[in-house]
Amino acid sequence: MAMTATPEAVHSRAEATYRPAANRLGLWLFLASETFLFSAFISSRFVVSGTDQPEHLNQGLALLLTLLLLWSSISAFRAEAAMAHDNRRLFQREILTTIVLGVLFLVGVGVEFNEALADFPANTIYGSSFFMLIGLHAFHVLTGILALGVVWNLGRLGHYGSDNHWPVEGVVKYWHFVDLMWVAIYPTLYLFGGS
Amino acid sequence: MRQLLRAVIFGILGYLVGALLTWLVRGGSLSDEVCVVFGYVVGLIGWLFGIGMGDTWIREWFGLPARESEVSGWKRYLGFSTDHKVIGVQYLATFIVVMLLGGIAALILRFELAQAGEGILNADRYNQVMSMHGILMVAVAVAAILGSFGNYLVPIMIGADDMAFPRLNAVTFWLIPPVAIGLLAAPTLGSFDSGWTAYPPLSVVNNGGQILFVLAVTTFGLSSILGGLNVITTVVTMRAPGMTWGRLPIFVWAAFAASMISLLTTQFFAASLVLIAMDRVAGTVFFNGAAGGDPLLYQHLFWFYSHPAVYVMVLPGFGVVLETITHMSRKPLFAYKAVVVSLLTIAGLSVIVWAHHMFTSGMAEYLHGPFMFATEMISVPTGVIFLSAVATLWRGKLWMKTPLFFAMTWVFQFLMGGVTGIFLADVVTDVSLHDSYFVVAHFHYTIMGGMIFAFLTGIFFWFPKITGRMINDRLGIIFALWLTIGFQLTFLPQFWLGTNGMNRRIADYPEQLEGANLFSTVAAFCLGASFLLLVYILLTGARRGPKAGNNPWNASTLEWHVSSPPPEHNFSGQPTVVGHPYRYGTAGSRHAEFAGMTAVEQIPPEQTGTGEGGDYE
Amino acid sequence: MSDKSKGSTELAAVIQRGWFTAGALAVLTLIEYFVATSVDRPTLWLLPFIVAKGGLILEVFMHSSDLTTLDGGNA
Ligand code: HEM
Ligand SMILES: [Cu+2]
Repeated sequence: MAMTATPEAVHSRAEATYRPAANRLGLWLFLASETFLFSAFISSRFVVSGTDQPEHLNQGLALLLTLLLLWSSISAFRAEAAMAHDNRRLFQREILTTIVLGVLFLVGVGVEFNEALADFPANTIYGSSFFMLIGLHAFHVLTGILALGVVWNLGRLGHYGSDNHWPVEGVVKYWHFVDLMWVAIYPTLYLFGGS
Repeated sequence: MRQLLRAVIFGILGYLVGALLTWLVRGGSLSDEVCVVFGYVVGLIGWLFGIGMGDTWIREWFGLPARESEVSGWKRYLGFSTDHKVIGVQYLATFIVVMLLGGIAALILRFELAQAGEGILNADRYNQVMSMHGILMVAVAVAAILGSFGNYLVPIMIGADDMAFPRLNAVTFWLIPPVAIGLLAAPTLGSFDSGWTAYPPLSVVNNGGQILFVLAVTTFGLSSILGGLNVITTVVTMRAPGMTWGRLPIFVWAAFAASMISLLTTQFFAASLVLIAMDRVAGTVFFNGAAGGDPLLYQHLFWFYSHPAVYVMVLPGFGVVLETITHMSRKPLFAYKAVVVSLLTIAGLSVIVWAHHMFTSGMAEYLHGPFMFATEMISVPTGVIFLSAVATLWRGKLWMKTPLFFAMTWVFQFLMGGVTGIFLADVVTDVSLHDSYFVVAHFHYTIMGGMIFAFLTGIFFWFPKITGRMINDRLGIIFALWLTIGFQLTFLPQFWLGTNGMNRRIADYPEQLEGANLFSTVAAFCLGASFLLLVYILLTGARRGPKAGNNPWNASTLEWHVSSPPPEHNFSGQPTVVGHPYRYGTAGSRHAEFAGMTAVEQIPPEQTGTGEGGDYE
Repeated sequence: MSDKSKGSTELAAVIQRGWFTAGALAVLTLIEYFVATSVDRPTLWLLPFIVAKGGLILEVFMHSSDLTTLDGGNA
């Protein structure tokens, strides 16, 4: 990262001692910042349409999506734990599982969008919030999948070990964060309005 | 150079690919806003990839070794450098240019306003130029100090060798040129005319230039968020041994508090603009009252960022001014701890006052009282900082060089800005002052007086450190006087204009207001001309000024104890901090020591400064 | 016992904790869904579920405790 690492000693200080704390804090700050982004959109939903929700919501599909994301959390969790204990095989398998579940989630969102377009298109007020929030979340899932793909590949190439897997930790934390946002978005769009 | 060229090419190619693909998929015209949006996004990625993110970062994502660029000398400033000092200078140069561009727009506006009736601009054009001026200057105000001095000084002041995330830092800077290009390209799509605030419904239905505004400003927001993140992480994790929170130089605290605000609130501006973009291109109805949406939602989201943003602008300014005042009046900073608490309190309170911009917007009445109260509360910590500046100057050994001169004009101007703010915070008076030139004068006193003047203070104070040379101090003081007087003459009449019924954001006005307007216009040109002198001073100083030495101001903080400009990685050994930075007047007090440097001995006030001539007295 | 098998029992313990958490989250989600579809105006009833689920994710999955060990050591 240094352009020219002139005084070697100085640089290894910065990188070896300070890095883990810096990386972690940096990611937490980023996630805090993202939380505010999500809360801006979530509160917009309440401002424009309260907790109103249309009757045609596909509750079954939404519940399924929620559980799918939950399942992908545990596989991501296992992947990280596996790498922390140098279990490469389990790591590769669980990361792949997570990616597959993520893709399934996106497919589910696609199906949901298709139905929603007919029932409450974007030019209705609930539809506006719905497409905005689900779209924002799906975009995060997509970036999460890409990042998981990157660490999957680097893991395969042997870049990580138990004492050297910050990218795995970071990506998995991001993935859990995306799930965390869903914990708020799901009731916001599907449940608060009651039945 | 090669990187820059590649970035431009990739950026253009990216734009074309994005726009053409969208066009192929959905038909219509290539200048449709959807095509612009996708073109811009792909173009932005291409630009970042080309400038060097591809070489140093993305390659690693695929398991390839990073390619380091090996340019040196001035060429580093035109490429993807991860050195925080290079990035600081990049910010400095960029924002001085943007500030001059915004200034030209301002002069065009004042020219139009010299007389009642329609002059060189018709009403539409006027609003377009006004909007461009506003957003350029807001960008300068938000990022100029934090980007340049924040990057350049924070790591050195805390005894670190760089920011916590050097590559991220480079990306943060290189997000800025697309912002400038996006804004300046808006006239090709018919400009934007809804002011820097971009209120709907106008911003949903006006010309296509608005979409470029939305994209560019969102990018800018991303850049401020990432910059804030970097500063906070650096301050928390990279402080040298002994650099406790209670010993941080005040500028570091100020940058830290401002970074907190930009990290956590900028999203709201981005979110409000994304909703505008959605309403424009995706057919949503967030701000369409007829379809159940609510334009006031925009104002809440927008001000939830944009009020705190004024503190992103001005807190680093406080830091610069306090830093300059304490070093150059040779006295300890008055009430250091209270200032720190105030900085953090302001950062906290700044998010609960936003609706004072909306007293006349039609929001619920019962909100008026609480927001008025909260706004007036925030003047308390602001006042503490102000008093610290005054009390530090009080009976100090004032070393009347250009930086201190600027810092002292700041004291007066910020007082004007703050006091007039109280009238705006009061619902009763604000109802008639809102949207008048009184507001214009208020925020020019706070932003130009409080932030731009602090920026200039910082430029003159740290110029010797950054370039290794001194400026011509006599010319510096002439510039300071000229600018200050021009500034008062331009903006004082605007308070009067505002109370006498002149609306803001309008090209024409009642004839009886002509005199004061003409006066203000003439003064504005006078003020504008002074910037030519600034450019002259800086350029000649950088090329021919006398050598500055390490510590021309005899100051205590760490940046003054390395060479000017500082070496790569800043320190030749690990600095250890052993005392508070501002113990001026206590003989033998020390701030820090490190290998290769004599311990930092602070100069008692009887001693004169060095630099050139040593005329400190 | 080699180091390796010690590592793997440790891993198994960590993963078990993960499964418990995921199980708890799943149960909470189902109850949440049930409450939402049977109560008339469920907003307030659902807030505790959001807090509990979010807390579990933050604590177990995201290791929020690593926030306490971040300072550069000069506090
Ligand atoms: C004690 C301090 C301050 C108080 C009580 C205060 C109060 C206010 C109020 C109530 C308004 C709304 C006026 C209206 O539109 O009717 C306002 C506008 C404004 N203030 Fe301040 N202010 C203070 C300091 C500052 C500072 C430090 C800055 C910037 C560095 C600032 C920048 C602005 C800007 C940019 C606007 C106008 C925004 C717009 O409508 O375009 N103010 N101020
Ligand atoms: Cu405000």
